[in-house]
Amino acid sequence: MWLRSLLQRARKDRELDEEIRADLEIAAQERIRAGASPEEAAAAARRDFGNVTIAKEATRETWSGGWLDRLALDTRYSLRQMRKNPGFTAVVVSILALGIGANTAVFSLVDGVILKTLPVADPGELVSLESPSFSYPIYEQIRDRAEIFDGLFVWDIEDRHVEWDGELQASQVLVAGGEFYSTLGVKPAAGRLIRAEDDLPAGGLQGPVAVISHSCWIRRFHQAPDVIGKAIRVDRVLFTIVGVTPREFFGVAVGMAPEVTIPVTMVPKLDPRDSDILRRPSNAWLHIMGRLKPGLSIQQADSAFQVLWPRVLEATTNPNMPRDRRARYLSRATALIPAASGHSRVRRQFAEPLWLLMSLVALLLLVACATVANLLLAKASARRREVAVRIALGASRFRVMRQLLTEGLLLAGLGGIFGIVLARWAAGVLVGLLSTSHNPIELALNPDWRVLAFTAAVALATAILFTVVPAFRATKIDPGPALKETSRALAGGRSGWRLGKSLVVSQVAVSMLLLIGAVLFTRSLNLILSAEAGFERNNLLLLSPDAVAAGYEGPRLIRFYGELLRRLNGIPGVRSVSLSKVPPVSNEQGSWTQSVSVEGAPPQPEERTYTYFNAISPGYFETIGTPLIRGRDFGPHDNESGPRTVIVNELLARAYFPSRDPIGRRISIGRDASRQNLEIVGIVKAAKYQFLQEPDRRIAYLPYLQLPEFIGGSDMVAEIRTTAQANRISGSLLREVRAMDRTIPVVIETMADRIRESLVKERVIAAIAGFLGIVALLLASAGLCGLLAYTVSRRTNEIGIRIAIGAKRSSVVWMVLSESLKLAALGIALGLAASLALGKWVASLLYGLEPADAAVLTIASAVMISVAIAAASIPARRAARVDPVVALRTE
Amino acid sequence: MQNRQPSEEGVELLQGTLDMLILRTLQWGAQHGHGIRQAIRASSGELLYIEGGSLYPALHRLERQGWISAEWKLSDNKQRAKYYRLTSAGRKQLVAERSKWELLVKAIGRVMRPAE
Repeated sequence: MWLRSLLQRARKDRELDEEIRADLEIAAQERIRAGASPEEAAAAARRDFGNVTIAKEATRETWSGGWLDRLALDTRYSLRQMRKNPGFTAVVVSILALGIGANTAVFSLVDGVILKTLPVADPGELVSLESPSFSYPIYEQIRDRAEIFDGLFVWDIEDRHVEWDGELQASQVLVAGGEFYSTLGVKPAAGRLIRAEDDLPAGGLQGPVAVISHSCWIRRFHQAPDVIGKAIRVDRVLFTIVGVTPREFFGVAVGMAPEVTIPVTMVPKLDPRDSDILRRPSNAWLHIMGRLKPGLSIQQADSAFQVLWPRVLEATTNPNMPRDRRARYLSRATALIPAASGHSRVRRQFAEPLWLLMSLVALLLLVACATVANLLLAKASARRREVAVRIALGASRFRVMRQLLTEGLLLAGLGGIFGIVLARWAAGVLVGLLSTSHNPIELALNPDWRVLAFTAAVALATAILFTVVPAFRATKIDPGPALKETSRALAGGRSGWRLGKSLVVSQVAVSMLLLIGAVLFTRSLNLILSAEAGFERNNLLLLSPDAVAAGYEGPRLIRFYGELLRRLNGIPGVRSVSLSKVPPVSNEQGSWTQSVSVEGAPPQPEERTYTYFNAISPGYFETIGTPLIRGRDFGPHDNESGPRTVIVNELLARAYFPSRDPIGRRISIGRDASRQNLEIVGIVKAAKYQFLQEPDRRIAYLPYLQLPEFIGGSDMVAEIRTTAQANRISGSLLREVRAMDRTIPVVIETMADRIRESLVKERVIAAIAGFLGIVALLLASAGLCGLLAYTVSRRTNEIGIRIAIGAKRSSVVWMVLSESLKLAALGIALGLAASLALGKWVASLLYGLEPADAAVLTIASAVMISVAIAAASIPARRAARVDPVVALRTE
Repeated sequence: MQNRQPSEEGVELLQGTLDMLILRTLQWGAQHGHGIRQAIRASSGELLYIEGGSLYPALHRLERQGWISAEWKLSDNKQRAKYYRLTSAGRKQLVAERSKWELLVKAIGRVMRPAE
């Protein structure tokens, strides 16, 4: 097909040539017959005809099969051009691939976390109840009353322990109501999925059943077909695996991919403390999601829902609830919200940083476009003759621009293809960086249509950005001077040069933005890390034994903790050991707050009385390194039979006892009779509780032995302070716990690791901003260097003359340098202005400094100025070495 | 693309009008490119000079549209040239163009008539 039209085309060309030649011949013959000489006749005939080349061009235009033919021609021409300059093409395509790839990588994350819909049937019909959690009785009430749902289910993702290879490991387990799979419309990849019949208190006909995920099947069972029927232990219950979910299904929580799913009715069996959790209306722990009946809009469904919601609340109130609590319960509001893209804690955590990253890589793309535009401009000056010839021969300017645009599109297209490959790798790396052991992120990153469409759009926009303006300029040349060989003319005329300058200035400006961002986020991270934490982070290990999972409870558990303290203390290299309910910098492991009241102190509004709590063993403050300001630490007398005591931090002391000595005074916690009138025995320095970035909190500490009912069902964490040389002590710690009981799962981490993981967002942002800043600096310096080299070659004559009439070499160097500094200064000013304008968008992601921080802006400007000077050095040296004789001779 | 070099003393023609003139000229028999140019010049009383740059694109376009057909023949002085001929579709097209033209002339004439 191609070949035929090619041959046809050649034939048509020949025929046209012959036709026009014939025309001229005939015209000449007529004149000869009228008496003219052959030469006159031929000349007159040609004059009469008009411009032959234009006639041929115009006629050829009518042959084109429309735009497709022309596109094919332009494409072939562009490919030929690109093949003639492989080095140039490689550089341009690499820069484009980097810019487009970075954008695609971040966008695929945005797509995966924020935009994608669940891989189930008709996700648009799914809705969930707003506000995090509900109790099982509430679910039952809604299920029994609501007519608007075509299926309603509960779900939750919990941290449990699953036995893999004979060892209990902490795993995330999806707990799902019987209608989960049927409402979502998921079909099993093997076996069958959990059904309503399995969702009974003792399990269905097959007993307790479980479903595993596809990746679990591959990773842990090697896709063995006999996995159906195998047994799997979750906490203390043995489940039978009955099926495997499809490959693309991960649940309804975006960013999490639990390997095991069990029916919700089996939860009471997992944990004796939760034996009546399904009946307690006060335990709000489940998410509720459902599918609307077809044709029902979400607004209609919500109005119907709001009618029955008060009745649901009424039906689930505990008759023994005190009046004010009951009023608060009944006034709880919720609504139906669309759930097509599922529910996601990951989305909430990372939405803001992801949008920030999108803006950063968009800026990088702008710098990349400016760089490529500059390169193309430089190349266009080299092709001036070719373009001039084409225009002189009558090609329309539009025609030439079209060809340049096609070339640009091809380059951008190639850059886009490589960019997608790069993005796939980069997105995987990014998810890996953001995922921590406490907060693992699982995302399916295969490019879907949205990502591909995005890449195509970006490539197209990029192509237009970097070709249109240079193409416009390039075709505005006056063919006359361009056809002559003078270097002055070849150097492109004023307009091309000015465009090059403004491109470089914009490169510098955008690079400034990225540079400022890099410095801001790096400094913010450093401020967090160096902030006064209130405790000593070095040589501190955290050991989390999950004795509850291994079956310990009540007095046996408390005895275990006591034994643990004793045995860990005896290990050589250990300076001191303590236990606490809430580990230092608890992060996602949450917090424990209650209201506090003090006798004799002025009553405070309810929100202000909420205080953070911790249950600790004696020696806690010494172990983590928080100084005791007044009074004493807990001791062996602060046990179950002793008087009730409490230690507070200085903020709480100052708030409730501004002028009196708090030691000896009493505070009361909540409404529990056993926690009234506790005596304050000590005051400690304020220490960070949950996050390093948090503002100071009021904290009260209780001795763990005085809370047997609470601790008897709770996990505690052991803090171990080691001597400086004994950092490798975790092995001995592990062995000690195993010696006590082999079945207890243990997790050991250093405090430094824990802090690092808690700051993963900030670290990743700082790292990426830094990387982008460096790349942008490189591109900007390359742009500056290139432009200055161009200037020097353009003004070689002038430089030669200057030197010849006595100017010092240093003044020539200064000439180049000042040019560079002028451009850089303009770019820096623009960049600073832009950063001041845009700063407020990133203020919330910074700690300890404002976006317009003077030190940061000064550092960024200084770096850019030094880059400008460095970029000028090579062209400056070349300018200084100009031999005036040679310069003046080559015109 | 039309050339922009002004003809010496002539009238600028719209593309559609040139098509009509070519069809009209061929009504009198097959002719080659040069002949068509001469014919138009002559029958317009030396007012219309059609340059090669306008004629040949028009000829090829008309050929593509099927209103004229072409074949290579030997001219009077044994010169091989491409002769164009009106097709039956072209004949019909000419009639249509002509009535459109006359309507246009009448309309413009009315507008341009001096006030009564």
